[in-house]
Amino acid sequence: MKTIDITTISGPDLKSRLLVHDILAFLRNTGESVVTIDFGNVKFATRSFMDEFYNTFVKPGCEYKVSIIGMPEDIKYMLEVVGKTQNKPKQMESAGEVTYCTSVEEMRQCLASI
Amino acid sequence: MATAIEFDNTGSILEGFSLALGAESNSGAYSPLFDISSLLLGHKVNTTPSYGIRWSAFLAQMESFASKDYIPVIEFPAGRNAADLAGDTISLIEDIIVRQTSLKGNVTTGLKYMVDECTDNIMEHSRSEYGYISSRIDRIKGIIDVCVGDSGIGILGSYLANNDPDIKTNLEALQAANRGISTKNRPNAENRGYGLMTTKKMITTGLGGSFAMISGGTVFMQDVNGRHFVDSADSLKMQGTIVALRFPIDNSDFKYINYIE
Repeated sequence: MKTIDITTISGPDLKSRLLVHDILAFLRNTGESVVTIDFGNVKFATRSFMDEFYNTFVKPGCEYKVSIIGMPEDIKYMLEVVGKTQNKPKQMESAGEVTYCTSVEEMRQCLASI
Repeated sequence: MATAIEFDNTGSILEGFSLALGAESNSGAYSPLFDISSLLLGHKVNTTPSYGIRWSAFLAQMESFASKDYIPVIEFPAGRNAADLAGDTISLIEDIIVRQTSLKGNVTTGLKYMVDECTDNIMEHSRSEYGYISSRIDRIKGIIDVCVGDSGIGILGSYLANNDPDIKTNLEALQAANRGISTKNRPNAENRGYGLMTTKKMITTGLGGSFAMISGGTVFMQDVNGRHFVDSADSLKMQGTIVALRFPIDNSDFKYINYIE
């Protein structure tokens, strides 16, 4: 099985959802049916990246299956969290007080008073 | 190519930045939350693509800010085909902020998380050609301000583009976005909207800071004391969206992973 160091495609920071699509294209172009992705050199990942990664490579029924090695603990935790929140109602944040202003100047003053 | 930009007019994104950061108003009043006006005033804008420079020249230019207390408004490409350049630019800015502040590793990761989620939102939702980022340190107060923005379709525009029938005004759009309703919250994408939610939790509860978002003519602000919307009733017609983050530099107990949900 071919092993790909993900940072050779992305660099050490996994930042954007778009990047996941590039990783998928890269893996498809390897011609391998099964690939191991090595996260050992990853330093950072956003939740957005991990959510897209989960939906592209990890969740049941994904078109392209991968195995994962070397994932740092905090990123592994984020992947677990992302998996748990899939297709579940989100706890909505509360509303907030609304102040209406009729000019930018009034708005500035309002902001200054908050 | 990313560029360090300066400005001397009141283009819409820059008007928004100045509002977010508290530029001096006609009456001389300052917003106590974001007071970065000294950085923004007196510069000249140039956002044309031909203004781009080589990456190595940009690196050299930005190095001069490592020993200063601010980063000027930096323009970076926000198109979907420029994600790598945008990512490199933002990483460079984050590295300089860390050097300027001697930010601890735990807070550094939190900063990267918040800024990168904001940047990803620009690329995913704004349809803006460029994004913008700026920062400033107040060493007396021990705080840092970071501002990330775009001149795209705005949050309302993003809901409208996704045919959301329930959201018709800038206020409704900002309220929905800040309740956790993603503009792409469709049956095949129920898990969106967490990046913004987590960012707000991280900066307010985790870092004891404050969060502000401006889109269209509406401002949203949140800190540990609560949430507040200010609607301009269309007297402010700002194109795009701006997010402003303020937090204390010294946060030794902060662990970003505690706020991931």
